[in-house]
Amino acid sequence: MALAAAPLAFIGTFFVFPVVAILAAGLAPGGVIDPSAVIDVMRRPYVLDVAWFTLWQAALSTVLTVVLALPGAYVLARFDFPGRRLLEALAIVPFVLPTIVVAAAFLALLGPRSPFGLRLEHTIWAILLAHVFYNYAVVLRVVGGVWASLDPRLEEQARVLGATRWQAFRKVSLPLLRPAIASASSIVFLFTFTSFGVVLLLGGPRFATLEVEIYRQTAQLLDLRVAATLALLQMAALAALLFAYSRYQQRLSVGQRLLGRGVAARPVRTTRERLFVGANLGLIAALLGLPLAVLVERSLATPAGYGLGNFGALLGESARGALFVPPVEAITNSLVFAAAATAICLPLGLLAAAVIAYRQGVLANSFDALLMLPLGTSAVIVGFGFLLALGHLPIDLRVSVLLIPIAHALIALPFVIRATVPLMRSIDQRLRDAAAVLGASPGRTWRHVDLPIIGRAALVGASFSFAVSLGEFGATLFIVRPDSPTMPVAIFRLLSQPGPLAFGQAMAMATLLMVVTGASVVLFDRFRSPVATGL
Amino acid sequence: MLRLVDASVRYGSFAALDDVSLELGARERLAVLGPSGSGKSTLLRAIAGLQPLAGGRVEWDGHDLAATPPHRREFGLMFQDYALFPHRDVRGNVAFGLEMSAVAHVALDERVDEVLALVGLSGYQRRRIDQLSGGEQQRVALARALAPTPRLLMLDEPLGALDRTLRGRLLDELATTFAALGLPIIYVTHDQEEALAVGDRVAVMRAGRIEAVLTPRELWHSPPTEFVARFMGLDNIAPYTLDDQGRAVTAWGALPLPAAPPAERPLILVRPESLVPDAGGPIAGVVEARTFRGDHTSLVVRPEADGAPPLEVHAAGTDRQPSVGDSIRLRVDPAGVLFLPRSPTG
Repeated sequence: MALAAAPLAFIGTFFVFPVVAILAAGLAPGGVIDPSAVIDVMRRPYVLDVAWFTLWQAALSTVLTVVLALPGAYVLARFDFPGRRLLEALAIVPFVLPTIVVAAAFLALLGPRSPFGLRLEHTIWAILLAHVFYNYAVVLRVVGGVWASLDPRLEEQARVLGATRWQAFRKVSLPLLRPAIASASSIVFLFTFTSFGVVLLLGGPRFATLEVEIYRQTAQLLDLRVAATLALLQMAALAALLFAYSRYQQRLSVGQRLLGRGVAARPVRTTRERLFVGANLGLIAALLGLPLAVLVERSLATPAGYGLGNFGALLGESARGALFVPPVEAITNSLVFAAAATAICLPLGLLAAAVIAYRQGVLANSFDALLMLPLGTSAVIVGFGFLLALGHLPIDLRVSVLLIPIAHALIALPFVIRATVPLMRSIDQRLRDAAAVLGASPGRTWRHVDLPIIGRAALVGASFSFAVSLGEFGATLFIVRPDSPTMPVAIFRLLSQPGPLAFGQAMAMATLLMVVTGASVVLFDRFRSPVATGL
Repeated sequence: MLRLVDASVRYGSFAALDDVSLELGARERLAVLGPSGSGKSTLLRAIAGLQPLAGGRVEWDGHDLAATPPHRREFGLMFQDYALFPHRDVRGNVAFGLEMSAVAHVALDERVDEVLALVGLSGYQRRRIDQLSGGEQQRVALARALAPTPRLLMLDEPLGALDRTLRGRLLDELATTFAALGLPIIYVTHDQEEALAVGDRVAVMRAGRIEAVLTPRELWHSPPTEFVARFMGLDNIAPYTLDDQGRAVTAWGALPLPAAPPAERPLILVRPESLVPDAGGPIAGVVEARTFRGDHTSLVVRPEADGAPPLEVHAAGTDRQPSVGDSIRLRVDPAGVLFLPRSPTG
């Protein structure tokens, strides 16, 4: 367990301590615990309004996403058509895009400069659409994966026994898919409940989730007490949600024989099937492809026609002094921060993954759960916590250049661990035994069996932390210094400025960010599978 | 009454079912026998309506079923691995078909109890599927297929997933149950023994076509084609010509015949039990392998003649059998000689 010390110290200092600081600021603003302070804030009507809005927009986004994505999941699970694998790979892209890129893309599609003249910015529709765009892939992957491994003969058996298509789905497939749907819905609900960038940019002043309100109270109204109380409310809600979810999952699991992926897929046969598949592929193209296409199109559109003018303008001064520095510096900053965050996160993540993969028992499980906590809170809480807490450390990290990489590393850590644990577990003791029997010394066994897999895990972890850091927005916004913005922060500031130059620069930078994060995730996806290790 | 007329199913350019015509009597049990990939399961799926036909038709009592979806056909189908619903208990599985036809609750429970008693699983109503043994799952699947009183029962390799001993016992049970049911049954299997035990008639399938439909007795005693013979495990087959003494001249040697062979039958088949070790026999060879099989000893004999296929010999009795490496001579009991047409290749 000595290996666990470094990750524990990191989580303790940069997650537990800041969260305690938030608790203190909310519950004991004057240094002594004073529940009346919390009650006082909670009584303000807008606090309830914000909480209520957060809840119902998340619920509505979740229902909308599931309803739209279920037919798509069915299509990918049951039908084989040219380009199916490519589509499956591309469908994940929106999910990994930075929120700020998604917000920028929808602003391009629905905002004042929309090429279609749509004006939906600052409406609930913009928020809902962006949330569906973002989370469609979650339902597609989670539910589609289980659906593909459901034996299609179960439904056929129901049909022979007298069930219509719909009855066969409702009585057989749906109950068997329920755990997967519940799982996907919980993830979507969690993401939309803590939605920050999308609501901040697309919602305008009328709409605020708890996350957005915490930011406004802190950055604009400088009311840390209200912000801390909202953060408490947010954390309590998330804890309740995660608890309810884990209870529900335990109750639902049904033992069943699963098929290998893609076994059940068959060619499209009838006209009816062709229409159904076509409609869903059309929906995917319109919903997932259109916003990104418009983003790229807007980034290339200049007052003088199409060209690379907006990208060239990134080298010059930012529009109306939105950034204090030329936008190109934001790109350099982001790359440097991402490299630093990766350097911090990767060793910690691999250590933690090794502990989780090789140890069992209550201690290892609680270690695992503790390291997942940053995922269950939110980036805004992390940023806010940093702001409150890190002035109290022996070294005042608030002025350190390491502050942002540390925050990014903290947020990326759960992802890195989750992505690398399966790889670590794939190192089979029998492989080591086989190598030893074949005459390899322990050193050579380690080099030829363990090292290649650990190397692959490192690559996966690095690409993941790099991508997370590049796209991180919520936490960064709290702790970034005005003269060293990251790409997401720069995009946000540019989008907050009127005028075509700022808009063009924002579109160009969002396009760059999309390409870089998209590429690193495609890279990651190729290396993730333990099967692909060539062993 | 079920009738198939030139029924075809294609997967892309592959003909999984190729112009199959078939008729099934009102209480007839038809065993469909064939190697894997010969289209047996596709045949059942086509009859059930799960697989659209590329050509031909499936009829019931003279009505084309093309427009009748699977859930209106009132056919029972039992899949190879049973496809029991994992989220429902035994009662939930058996009652499924009754729920679909909106049977009243009381009648439903009665019927579930009745079919569970029929398959010998009374009292299993509340058991979970994953708590059942393979044999019990097979019975639940049968009870589920029977519960809505189908007008035709189809079973796809019902014993395929079970071990050998259990198979023997369940085969006897199934045969008894089928006889009591009095409804037409199609029983798909790749196992000759099952087909012979269950079917009033046996349809042998090969590459999407029906090669022959015949009684178990005919199938056993006089397989009509080379393919059927080989599938029944009869491999002593060779072309022959007649010499002037009326003997069949084969690669093994010149075999005396009791009577002239029928026309258009250029292949001779010698049953392994009618090859008898005999110092004066016309076939000379060397014993290559010897396996004790209880009621007989199986020998593989490599004939001396160049290019002659090895012969399988079932020698009766257990004592004084030749050993591996021995040179022996064989005579042919004419009762075990058959003549076959040349099978179309394909």
